[in-house]
Amino acid sequence: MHTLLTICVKDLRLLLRDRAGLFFTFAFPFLYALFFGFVFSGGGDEGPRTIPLRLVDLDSSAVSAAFLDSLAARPGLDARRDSLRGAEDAVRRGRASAALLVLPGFGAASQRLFGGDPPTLELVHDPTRQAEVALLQGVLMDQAFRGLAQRLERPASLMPVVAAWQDSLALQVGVPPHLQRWVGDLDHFLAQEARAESLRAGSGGAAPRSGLAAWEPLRVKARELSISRGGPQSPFEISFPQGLLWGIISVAASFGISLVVERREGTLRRLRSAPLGRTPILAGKALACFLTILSLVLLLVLAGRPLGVVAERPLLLVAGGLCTAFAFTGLMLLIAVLGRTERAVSGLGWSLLTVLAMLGGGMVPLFLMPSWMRALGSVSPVKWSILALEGALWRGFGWAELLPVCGVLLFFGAFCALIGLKAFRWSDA
Amino acid sequence: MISLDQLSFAYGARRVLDRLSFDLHPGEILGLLGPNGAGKSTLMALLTGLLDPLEGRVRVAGGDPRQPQTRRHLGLAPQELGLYEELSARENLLFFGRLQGLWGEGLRRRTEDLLAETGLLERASERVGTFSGGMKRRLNLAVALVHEPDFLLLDEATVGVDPQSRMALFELVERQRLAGRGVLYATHHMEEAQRLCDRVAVMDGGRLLALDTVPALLERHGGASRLEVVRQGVSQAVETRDALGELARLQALAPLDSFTLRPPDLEQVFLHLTGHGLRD
Repeated sequence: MHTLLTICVKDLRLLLRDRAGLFFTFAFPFLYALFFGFVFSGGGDEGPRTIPLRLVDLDSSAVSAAFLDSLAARPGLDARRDSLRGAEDAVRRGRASAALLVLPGFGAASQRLFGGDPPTLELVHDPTRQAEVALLQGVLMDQAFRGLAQRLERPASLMPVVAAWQDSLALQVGVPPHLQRWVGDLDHFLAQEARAESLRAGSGGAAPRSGLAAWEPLRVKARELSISRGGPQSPFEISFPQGLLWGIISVAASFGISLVVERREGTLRRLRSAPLGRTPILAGKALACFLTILSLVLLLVLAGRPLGVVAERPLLLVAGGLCTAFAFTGLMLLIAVLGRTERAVSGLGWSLLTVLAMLGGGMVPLFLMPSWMRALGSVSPVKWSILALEGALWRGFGWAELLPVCGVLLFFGAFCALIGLKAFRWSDA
Repeated sequence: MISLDQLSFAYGARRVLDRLSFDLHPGEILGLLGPNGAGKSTLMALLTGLLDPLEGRVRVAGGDPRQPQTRRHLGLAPQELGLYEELSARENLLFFGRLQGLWGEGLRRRTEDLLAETGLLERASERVGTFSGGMKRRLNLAVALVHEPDFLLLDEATVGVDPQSRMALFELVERQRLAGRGVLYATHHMEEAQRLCDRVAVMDGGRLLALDTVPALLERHGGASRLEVVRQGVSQAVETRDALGELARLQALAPLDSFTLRPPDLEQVFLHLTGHGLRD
């Protein structure tokens, strides 16, 4: 028992003296819990979660305008009016999850209510944001039902609609006589409190081949942006940049840790005793990291070709790859100075990278995050790297769109590299 | 020549080197003898320009070792080995040779010569990680010699090696003296200092306590020899500075069964200078 306790106390003492170990044992789980707590409970955020949405009115009717106004007023959406081109561009650049197109004829179809083609919307969405699109479809259907409920609350506004419906039924074959009677008495029926019940019966229990069989208050056609823009030719064009980023993160961590290993094993000391300045030693390591990342990009792009991963504009992919490699090489130099020991640098480096991946949307959809966390995500090179690679692969970026993204990556890389070079502990070698 | 002039260094408020002054000449092996923490490794770091002196100065072949070109005169074999274990012995030599500005056929020839000289030629293509401690130490020395430096800095060069490898290392170091290189040999093994070094600098607590040839240190600080005699089954020990005279005197009194003479060594020198042993 004495031996057992002695060993136990020794290990606890070692843990207490290892600041990195303490951080990972106690602080990091807390930070992790805090992050997901903010994400899923909304703590720390005054405003609601919002899905960025662009609204395009191609119908230009009073009904379509009223529909879009009510949609823009809904909580949970960051909806803005835009032109068709502007809205599609916003989706392509990753600034909006989807563009909602109110197609021509929407207003007229709304007047028919129970007959003919329903009012139709088109949702042009970012293929990487399927979860948000599913939510949007639900929101739109809900909005349609709300609109219907409002109209049913004003019987006078329904009179032309009912009349149109009666006309429509009169032209159809096989409409049950009781339905014809029911529609005929609808004015009286609407005066009763059972409007909603009758609507459900009408939409769900109508006889086959009647006009009610396929009744729906609204039709939402979802369409990936790619269909019109020649974007992702395969799902791998979406998954490859994200997978690639995890590979790049791993390279940055490995090289950062290897600098500490060199210090421990004395090779850094021997390098320093050679007739070299300090900069070439770190620059050599940085170059190796840079080339490894570039090779990784090249390898994955080549491996992806048979799977349909084809860059629309290869030069843009090269530029995106170079800037991504630069950003993460700078980050590697920063990681190398995060601690004195291999364990500390490994732990702190991976934590930093994991947090950057989280903030960059690599682990949790961005729309789930509080607004301040999304804003913080703009400092993550993960976000910008994915955007640069996707921009070249399928988002149809031109130089004008890619260069600002590259600028952010280059700035990030240079900033991290400067800190790393300045703070590198040569004396420990 | 390597020259130290009133060299001091401190980690924060803790002074680890205090006004060290001495010279290392070409063709000389100078031992730095002291226990762990005496400041030997810090001195090595200052000599290779890794640290900036707090006071005083270091000159290597007339230059400041913080200047990269000055370090070309130095070959360092660090205590931690400083080898890439995933690379082969040959690859390590080629890599560090290139950093020293060697290229092409000259570097290849030098590499093969060193591999042969250190007895590593047969396993030159194997990963260093698979080597024994002694082989790694030999390679450590070979890497330090790859660019044929004027001065060799050896920091605990025999840590973790078996007696056979230790002898091989001693021979290698002695050959450097013959080649005209100055060798600074930091160790806490007094036997090594006594065996190899022309002069020994005794250090403790960052201070230089004595610097001289081994016989002179023994003469000045070693005290008396210890003579143990056994006569008619009874042992007796005496301290004497004239061992032969004392032995003759004891033999004249009555025949001796056996005797053991222990001359003074550097351990005693260190004890005399510091008041505590080398391994305390």
